Amino acid sequence: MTSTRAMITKRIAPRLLTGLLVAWGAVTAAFIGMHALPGRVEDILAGDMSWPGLREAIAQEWGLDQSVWSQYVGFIWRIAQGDFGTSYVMRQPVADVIGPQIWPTVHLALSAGILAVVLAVLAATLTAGRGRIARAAASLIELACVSAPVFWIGLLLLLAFSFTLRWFPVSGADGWRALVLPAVTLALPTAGLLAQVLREAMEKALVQPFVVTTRARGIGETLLRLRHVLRHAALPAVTLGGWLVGGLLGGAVITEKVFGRPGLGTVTLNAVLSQDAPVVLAVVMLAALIHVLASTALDVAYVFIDPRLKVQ
Amino acid sequence: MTEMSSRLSGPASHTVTARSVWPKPINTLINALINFLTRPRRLAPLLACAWMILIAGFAFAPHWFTAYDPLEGDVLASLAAPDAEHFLGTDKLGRDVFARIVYGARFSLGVGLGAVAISVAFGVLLGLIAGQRQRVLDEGFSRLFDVVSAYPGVLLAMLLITFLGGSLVNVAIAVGIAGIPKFGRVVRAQTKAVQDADYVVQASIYGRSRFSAFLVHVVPNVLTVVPVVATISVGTAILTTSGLSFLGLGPQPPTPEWGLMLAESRDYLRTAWWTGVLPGIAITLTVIAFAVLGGSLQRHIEGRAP
Amino acid sequence: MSNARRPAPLVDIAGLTISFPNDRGVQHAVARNVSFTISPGECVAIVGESGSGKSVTARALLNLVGGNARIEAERFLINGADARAFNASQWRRVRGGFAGLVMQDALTSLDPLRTIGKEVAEAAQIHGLARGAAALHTLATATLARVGVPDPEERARQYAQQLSGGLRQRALIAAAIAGQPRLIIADEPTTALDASVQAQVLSVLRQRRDEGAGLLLISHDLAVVAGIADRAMVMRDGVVLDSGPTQEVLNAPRHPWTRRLIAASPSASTHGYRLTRPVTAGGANLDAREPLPPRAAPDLARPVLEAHNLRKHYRTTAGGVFTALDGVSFTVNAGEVLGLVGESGSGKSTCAKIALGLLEPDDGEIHLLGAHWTGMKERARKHLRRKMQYIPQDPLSSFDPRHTVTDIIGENLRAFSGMSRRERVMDLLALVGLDVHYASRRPGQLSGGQRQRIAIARALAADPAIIICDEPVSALDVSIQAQVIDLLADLQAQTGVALLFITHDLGLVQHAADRVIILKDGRVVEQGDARAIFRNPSHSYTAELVAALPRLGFGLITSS
Repeated sequence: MTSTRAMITKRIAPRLLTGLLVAWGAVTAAFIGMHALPGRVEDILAGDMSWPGLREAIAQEWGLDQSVWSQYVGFIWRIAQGDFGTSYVMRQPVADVIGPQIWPTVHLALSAGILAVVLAVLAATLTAGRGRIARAAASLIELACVSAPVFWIGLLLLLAFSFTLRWFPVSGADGWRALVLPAVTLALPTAGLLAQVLREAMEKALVQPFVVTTRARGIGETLLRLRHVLRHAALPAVTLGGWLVGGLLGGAVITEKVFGRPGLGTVTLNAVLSQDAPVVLAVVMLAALIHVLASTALDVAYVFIDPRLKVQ
Repeated sequence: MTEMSSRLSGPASHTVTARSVWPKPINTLINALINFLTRPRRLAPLLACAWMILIAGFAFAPHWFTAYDPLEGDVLASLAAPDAEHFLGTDKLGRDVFARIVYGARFSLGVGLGAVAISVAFGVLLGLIAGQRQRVLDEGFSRLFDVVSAYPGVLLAMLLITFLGGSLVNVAIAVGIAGIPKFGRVVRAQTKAVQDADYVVQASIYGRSRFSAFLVHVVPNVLTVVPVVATISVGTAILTTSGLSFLGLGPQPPTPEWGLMLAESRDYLRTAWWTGVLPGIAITLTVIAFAVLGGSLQRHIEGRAP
Repeated sequence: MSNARRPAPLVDIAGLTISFPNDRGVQHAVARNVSFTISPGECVAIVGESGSGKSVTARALLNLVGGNARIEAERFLINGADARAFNASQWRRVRGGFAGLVMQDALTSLDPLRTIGKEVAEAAQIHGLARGAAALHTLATATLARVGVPDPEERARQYAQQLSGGLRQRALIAAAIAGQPRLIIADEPTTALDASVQAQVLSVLRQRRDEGAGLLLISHDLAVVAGIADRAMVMRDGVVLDSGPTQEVLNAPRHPWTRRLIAASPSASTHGYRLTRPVTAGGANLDAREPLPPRAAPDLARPVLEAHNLRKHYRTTAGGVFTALDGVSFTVNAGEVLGLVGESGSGKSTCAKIALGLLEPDDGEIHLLGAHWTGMKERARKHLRRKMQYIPQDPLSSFDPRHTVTDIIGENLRAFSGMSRRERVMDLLALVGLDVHYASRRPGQLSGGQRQRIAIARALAADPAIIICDEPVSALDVSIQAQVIDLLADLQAQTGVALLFITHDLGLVQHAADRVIILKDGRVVEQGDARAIFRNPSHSYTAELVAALPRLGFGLITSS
């Protein structure tokens, strides 16, 4: 199917362009930020560290004796090569600081994402277009999940399952038991939002004429929902996907703090608090990169769910 | 079907209408408000309204609701369980939890409203520009929205706070900037849709110039979507803010901010659940209230304009 | 014909009542005491307007009326079994297996995300007639071939949006008959299709009936029913007013409503007469067709709108070029009603857009009242704008949803201000037969007929020399359509405004127009007197159109 390939290329290209723009925007904003803020660039980069020779080292690494323009080009060039510089607070290269922390966070976010999708699809499929009470109850639970702060959900789960019932450890990252509560915590807000979107879309699809025709063929309600309606409902949900991935990453930072898990969250938080700009910048760009990759993947998925796009 | 649906949408004769002493937009607004308040379709919007009024009361006149000082504690009454004296208990420093929740309302509401004001101001302006039939502007601003929204809101705020330093105002600015693409996109899409609507395309037949049609037809119909998104966004802004506070990036102790209160409660959760449960309920109910109000505002607007 | 010689009926229903609870929980009947039978090889039609209960009655045969409906009947036999006692799985066996459903719009009635082949095969798969992808595909292509879809192999792999309207509708029929049902329920199966395509689809249905299937046809169109149904029922407000053999019902209608409905169908023979009847006791006298008010003859020396050699091309997404208009010329004279007829894609809407100055032609020009119109700056033609007005097919979308009726009509009265503008609005409302309290309504609170009246009032507000009417009544029920057409005729006679009347409805154009232009593929194929041209078509396409037109063809339609 050349049309499929053409369609996918057509959708991927602007995404990747956006990805480049995102990276460039972050770098430029950070650069402007460093220069526009009151105080010397050396002070900003040093964070709250100070030792003899530090400022000279920074000035040399960042080329602060050169013109602003060549500093900017040099900065972009280094980042394009994957060199985010040195964390002066941690006294090691940024890549070494965040590298080992990526997997624990992605592991958490991925588990939570899968859990959220499963929960949302179940909730939406079971309650869409059904009795008022079932829908009202589901809506209320979803609204609560969406509206409650993610760290508070974490605290409540800790209170119930770790402190009171003692089913799961309070903190740490060893084994699946330590993953359960953080993953559930992180999944609930996403699941709530996704379930709302899915159900609304399913209810919209359920009143389409094709549902009447399909029912008139003698199809069972479950098959109708899984084979026909869910696919229609997936379309608006997929467009939300990139945003949800961003939400999961942001939420992971907070969740890690609640459960004392190692990961990007702890690193980022410490970096922000000690004003370790190179590390924060690298983490934010990494998150944006993941966001762009996820959006691109979902865009491709969209073409497969909605064949109308490739035959137009 | 048209005959039937118009019958179902109900006669206008039951609605109370404001006297036309006001200029027209205000008049419309008053009518919408009266309509909205006098015909509660369900209980939820009513409860949401009640909670909002209470929170607004907390924010504007906290001393009416509690005699305790949110900052001065009674160390002897540290971590007291809810009782007659402190009916939501006290925290580690013996401060009354209820008083802290009451005084905390103004921070949450203030940051929420401030952040959304920033998002609305820039988002609406950029969205209206992007929605024009100018490809370059459209592409430029749409990419800008893509770029800003590629950063997870919490992380974007963290980046800004790294440079600006943690404070309530900086949190509001950061959350506000993160919210610009949402409004920009909604307004852009609505502008495009309204500009292509028959009543705008055909306005020239009825003697309108393009600019006049833009002012009379496009702008008002575009702006109808803003209150809905804005209302819901106040809730999400409060949520993000509380998260940043929890991480210690917002206001610093001893500010009675709800997110911060929860952060401080983590260590005593086992012994004093009320310190960690009640401020969370306050946040959750406030966010729900904004979501419910936004939802019913949307139903109200959609019900009028099919 | 005695009952004994008939085969056992497929469906035998007596005293069927369907009701829905309203907001306060009170049951509201949408169909009352409906009785009918359908036998194999028989076509039964239910005729009615929107809200008459015809669709809900048909859906009751599949128990697909909707969530909280209450269905009661004295007798409800499906294939001889008492359907009142059916459980969910028995109903599922009826659906698709015993009775297939064909609905109006195949684009939305087929799942747009699945291929035609999968959609067609689904019923067979559910009822276990075929297993496995290959067998199902074979079955789908065979079924598509049976309803006359060419290249069924290729079509089966396509999606609904890739097919033309006629093929799509046939695919929908194929999907309904794939489970080999003995009964076909067709709910407005040809509405919104062009006459020629409609004829093809009806012949497919007729063929199924001739092969022994029972057919329940739901339609608002008497002419369609006359051409295919053996027996007909006329419904209004949930009640069957007339029923019997089709010839009898249409030739000698017992109920005044049926007579009014039949009289409301426009045709050549109704030209110069009203379509609506004064509501009198004892029913309308068919010979008492009321003449329209006298009108001034068109002034052929005073052209209002002259279109010369209009051409317009569009680029298609596939990279090709679509010719919408290919050298179209016409003239509308003062006080004249010119009909512009064509099927979908013939270029008539493009014509309207160019005439209104919403679209620039690639070539050719238009003069309005002798002045240059196309190719002018908007500023230069602004003073002429009010001379040409527009009545769209869907006035709702042409109304700003935030505006009241006063604002909408007032938009065209900007020479007036304050009280005098308000008074003008009231005068115009009275002119189009609407009460003053509609002035404060918003578009969403108006019915289809009322909206069209507002659109007429808005057009007249500018005191135009010509009004372009683009399918002004095609979305309305026949009885409402008749009111709007009569209103337009009255106002035309009163004001002497010229009308460019764009329609696909040959009956309507013969009723309403003085002259007619027939468009096909962007070219004018024939033009002339609105009635003579169809009596003696000189172009083969006109002859085809006339042949495809379903007609009532009974003496009572023609006025004496």
